[in-house]
Amino acid sequence: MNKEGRKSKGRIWTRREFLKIVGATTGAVGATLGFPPILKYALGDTPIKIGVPAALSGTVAILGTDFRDASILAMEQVNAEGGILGRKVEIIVRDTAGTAAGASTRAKEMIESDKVDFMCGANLGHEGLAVHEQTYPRKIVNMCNTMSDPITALPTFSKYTFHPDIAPYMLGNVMGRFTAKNLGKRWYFLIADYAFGWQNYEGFSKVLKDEKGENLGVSPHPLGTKDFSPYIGKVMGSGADVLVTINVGFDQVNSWKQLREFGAFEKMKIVAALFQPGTIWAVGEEVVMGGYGGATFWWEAPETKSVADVFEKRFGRPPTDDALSQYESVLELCDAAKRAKSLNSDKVIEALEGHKFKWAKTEEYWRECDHQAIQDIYILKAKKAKRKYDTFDIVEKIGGEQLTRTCEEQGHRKDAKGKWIRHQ
Amino acid sequence: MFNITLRVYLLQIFIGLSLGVIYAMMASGLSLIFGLMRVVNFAHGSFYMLGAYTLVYLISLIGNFWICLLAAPIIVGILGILVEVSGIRRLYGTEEFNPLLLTLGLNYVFVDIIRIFFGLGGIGSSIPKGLDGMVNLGFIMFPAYRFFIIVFGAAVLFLVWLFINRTNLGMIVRAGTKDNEMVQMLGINIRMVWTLVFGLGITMAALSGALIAPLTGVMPEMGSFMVIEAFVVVVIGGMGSFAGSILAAILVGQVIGITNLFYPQAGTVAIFVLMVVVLLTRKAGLFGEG
Amino acid sequence: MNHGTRKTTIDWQFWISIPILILLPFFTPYHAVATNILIIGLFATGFNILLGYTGQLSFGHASFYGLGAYGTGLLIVKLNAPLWAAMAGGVLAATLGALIIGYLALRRSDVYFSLLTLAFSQILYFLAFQFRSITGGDDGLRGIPVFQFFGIDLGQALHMYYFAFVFFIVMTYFARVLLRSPLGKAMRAVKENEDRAIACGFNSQRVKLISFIVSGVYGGMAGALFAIHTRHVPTDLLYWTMNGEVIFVSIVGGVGTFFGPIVGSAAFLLIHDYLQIIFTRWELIVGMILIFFILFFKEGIVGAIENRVASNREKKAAGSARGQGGGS
Repeated sequence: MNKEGRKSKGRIWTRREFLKIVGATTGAVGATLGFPPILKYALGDTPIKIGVPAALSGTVAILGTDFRDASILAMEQVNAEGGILGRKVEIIVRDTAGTAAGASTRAKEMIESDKVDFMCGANLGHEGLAVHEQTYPRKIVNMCNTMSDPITALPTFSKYTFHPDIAPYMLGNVMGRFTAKNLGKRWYFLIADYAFGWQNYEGFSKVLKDEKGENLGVSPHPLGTKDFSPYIGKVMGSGADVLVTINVGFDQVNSWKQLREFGAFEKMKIVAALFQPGTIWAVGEEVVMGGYGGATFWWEAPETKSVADVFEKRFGRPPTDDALSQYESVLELCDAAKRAKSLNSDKVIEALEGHKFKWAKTEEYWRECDHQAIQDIYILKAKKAKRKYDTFDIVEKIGGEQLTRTCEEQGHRKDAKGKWIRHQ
Repeated sequence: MFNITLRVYLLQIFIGLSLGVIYAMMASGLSLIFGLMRVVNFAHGSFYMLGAYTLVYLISLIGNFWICLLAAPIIVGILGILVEVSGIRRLYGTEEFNPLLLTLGLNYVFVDIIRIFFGLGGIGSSIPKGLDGMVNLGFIMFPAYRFFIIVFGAAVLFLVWLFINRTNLGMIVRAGTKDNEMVQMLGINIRMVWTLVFGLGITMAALSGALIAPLTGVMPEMGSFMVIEAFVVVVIGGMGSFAGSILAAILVGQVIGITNLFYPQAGTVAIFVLMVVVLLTRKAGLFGEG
Repeated sequence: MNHGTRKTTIDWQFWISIPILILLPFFTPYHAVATNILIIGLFATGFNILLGYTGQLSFGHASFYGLGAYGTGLLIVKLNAPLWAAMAGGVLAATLGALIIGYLALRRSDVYFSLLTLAFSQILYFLAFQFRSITGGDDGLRGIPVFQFFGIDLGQALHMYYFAFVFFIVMTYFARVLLRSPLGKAMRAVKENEDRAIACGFNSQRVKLISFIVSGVYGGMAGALFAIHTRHVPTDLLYWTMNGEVIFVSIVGGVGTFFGPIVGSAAFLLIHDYLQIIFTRWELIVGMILIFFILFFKEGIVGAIENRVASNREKKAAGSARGQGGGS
C-alpha cells in the first residue's frame, strides 16, 4: 500500500489492514480459547492415538498453534480415506508452554495416561530432545519434528525416533554453498546465541573452509533481541562481502530492518539462513528485499501450493514451515503403519526406513542410518508481491545427502553383517 | 579486535547513548516509585510493552505519529494510576514485598491480555516518514530516528528533572523520598503525591516503549526482560536517586555497547556482573540512600 | 494456651501428610504430575524456610534447583557416577552454591539482597548456556539413563513417585525438626523484627545465612530429583522465570505454614494442567490468582484455613471462659 512518491522503508499499517491481521490472529487465538485438544469420533473401535506435544502458550505460541492445525488437517485426510487398519486416527495435542520441562511432562502424560501409539511433534529443539527421552525407553515411534542436529547422531539417536525436519547444519550447508558460489567469500556472521544458531554456523563455516573463503568473525546475540544496534557497529566495520544472519522469526526481521537503517545493505550482501514466510509476510516483504534466505517450504511452489491452499481455506491463514512439516510427518507416520499393516514399532520402523515420500514438497526419503528425511531446501529471494502471498522467488533448490553430515561423522557404525548398530 | 577503527567506536558510543536514554526513562521512573513509595514495580516492563502496543494501535487509527507518541504514554499512564489506586494502595503498610508480588502477577495478566487481543506473533512497525534516513554527525552517519530518540528522551528527562528539582510539587516528592512521615505530618496529602509519581513513572515507561516500537516492532513479551535490566540500572545508580539512575543508564548503555564489540555473548550477563560489583562495594548503588 | 505443651503432643500435621501423599498419585490425572508436585513442593519447602520463616525474599533460588539438577546430571553423564553418589553430588553443589551466594548476597538487605540473588542466578544461567559442550547448552543435558535397582524401575511412573516420596518425607521431617528447634525460633525472630532479634542477642546474619543454605539444600534436592525424573536437564531451570514459579507456589500455598509448599505446588501444577486443556491463555489466570491472593489472601490457602481454625478455637476458648486464646 504505497502512497505517491513515498520512499517507504517499511510499511505503515492502514487501519483496515491492521484490523484484518488482528482479526485473523484473534480468530485463531479465539479458536484456541475453547478448542478441545482431543477430537473424539463416535466409533465402535478404539482409535489409534498420535500424541502431539506443541507449544500452545508461552513465547512461541504461534508455532504450537500451527502444529495443532496441521495435525488436524492430516488426521482428517487419513480418516477420510478409511483410517489405519480400519481404525480412525485421533490426534491428542498437549501444551508444552515452549519449555523442555513442560515437554517432558506432557510426553509422560500422553504415554502414561492417554496411552498414545505414536508421538509426532515438538516445536523447539530442546522440547524435541526432552520428548525423545521419554519415548524411546517405551519403544514408541516418534517423529521428532524440530530442527535439531543432535537428534540424528550418537549418543542421542534412537531407532524409534525419526527426524522429518531439516537439521540446522543442512541449512548452513545449502546457504553456504549458494553464497560462496554467487555472492562472495569473505563472510561475517550475526547469529542468535543458541543451539540452532551454532549448529547452523557449523554448516556455513565448513563450507567456507572448503571453498577457501575468509571467516571474519561471529557476533552472537541473545534470542529475542529487539534492538540490534549494539552489534551493527562491528558488522559495519568488518569489511565483509557477505553478512550471514542466522536467526528466526522476529529476530530475523528486526535485525534486517535495523541493518538496513544503518546502511548495511549498501555495504555488503546479506544472507539469512532461514526465511520464515509467515513472519515476513506479516511485517512486509520490504524488510527482506535485496537479500537471500533459505526455506524448507515455499507456499507458491507447485509441489506445495495445493496443500497450502487447503490449509489456508480451512484455517484462514497460510501454513508456516512448521505446519507443513507436521502435516507431512503425520501423513507419513499413518502411511507407514498402513503399509506395515501393523502398529508394532519395529515393523513401522522397517516400513519407514528408505521410504520415499512426497506429501507437500519435492520428493524426500528417510535415510536408514540416522532416520533423517533427506530433502530439498529452497533458496528464496524477496520480490514485489503480485498476488497476496507471492512475496518470494525460488532462486534455487538444493537437496541430497551432500547437505548432511555423513552417517560416520555422526557416530553410526555398521556391524559385521552390514546392518547399522543400534544402541537404543 | 584491533581492526576496530575510531569510527566504529564512535558509532558504538552513540548507539550506547540511544540505549541509555531508553534505560534512563525506564529506570528513573522505577527509581522514583521505589524511592518515594518503597514499591518495587515489577510490572514496569509490561507498561513499557503497553506503551508500544498503544502507539502502534493508535497509529493504525489516527495515522499521525506525533499525536500518537504523546497520547499513548498518557493513556497508559492513566492505566497505571488505576492500578495504583485499586491494587497497590491496599498493600501500603503490609510487608514490603507485597506490591512486588502483585506487580509480578500483573505481568502475566497484561502479557496474556495483549496476546488475546493482538495475537501471539507480534506486529511489525516502521519508522515515521521524515525520521527515516541518516543524519550526518560529522564523523559518522547515524540513523535519524535513533538520534531523535536521544534528543527527545533527553528533553523528557530534563523536563522531569526540572519538575523534581524546581517545582513545589517536586520538592514534596524529594522530601517524601527522604522522610515520608514528616511530609504527612506537614499536612500534605501524601497519597495523592504517590499516585501522581506512580503515574509519572508509568508514563515514562510507556513513552520508552512507544519510542522503541517503530524500530523493533511490538511483541507481547517485549517488556519481560526489560524490567530486569531496568532494575539493574536502578540498583547501580541507587534506588531513589533520579540523577543516579540517569547516570547509571548511560553507563549501562555504554557497557552493553562496548561488551558487544568484544564479547557479544556476554552482553546480557555483563550488566549483572556490574551490578554485583557495584552493590558489593557500595552499600546502595552509586548514589542511593540505603 | 500454653505453647510448652505442644511439644509433647503428636505432630499430627506431619504424620497425616504421609498417607495423603501415599495416595496422591491415584488422585491426579496421571502419575508423573504427582512426582512433579513433590519436586516443586520440595523446592518450595526450602524457599518457604527462607521466606516464610526468616522473611527473606530471594529472586535467584533457581540457582540451587539448577545446580542440583546439573550437578546430578553431569556426574551421571560425564563420570558414570552411580545414582546415589550423583544425587549427593548434586545436592552438595547446590549447598556450596548457597554458601557462596548467600554469603555475598546477605551483605545487603531487602530489595538489594533480592536483586543480588537474581544477578547470581543469571550468571549461572549464562555459564550453563555458554559452556554448551559440557552442559548441552539450551539443547539440554542428555544421556541420563533410566535407573533400575532392587526391582525398582524408575522408568515406571509409580516407582519414580515413591522414590521421590521417600526423599520428600525425610526432608520434610528435617524441616519440621529444624523449624521447631531454637534455630527455627531464631529465624522467626529475625522475620518478625530483625533489630529486636539482634537486641535479644541473636546473630541475625548467621541465622539468615544458615536459613539460606538450608533452603538451597532443598532446592538442590529438588533439582536432583528433576534430573532423575525427566532425564533431560534444560537451561530453563536456571532462567529467571523459574523464580516466579516458586514464588507463586509459596504465596498461594501459604508462606510460613507447614502444608503451604505442598498445597501450593499441587494447586499450581494441577490448575496449570486443567487450565491448559481448556484455555491456552492460562498464564492470565495464574496472574489473576496471584493478584487475588496478594490482595485478599496473603496468608495463602493453608494460612487462611489455619486462621479460620484458630479463630474457631479462640471462640470456643472464649466461650468456656478460659481467658486468653492462644495465637499460633
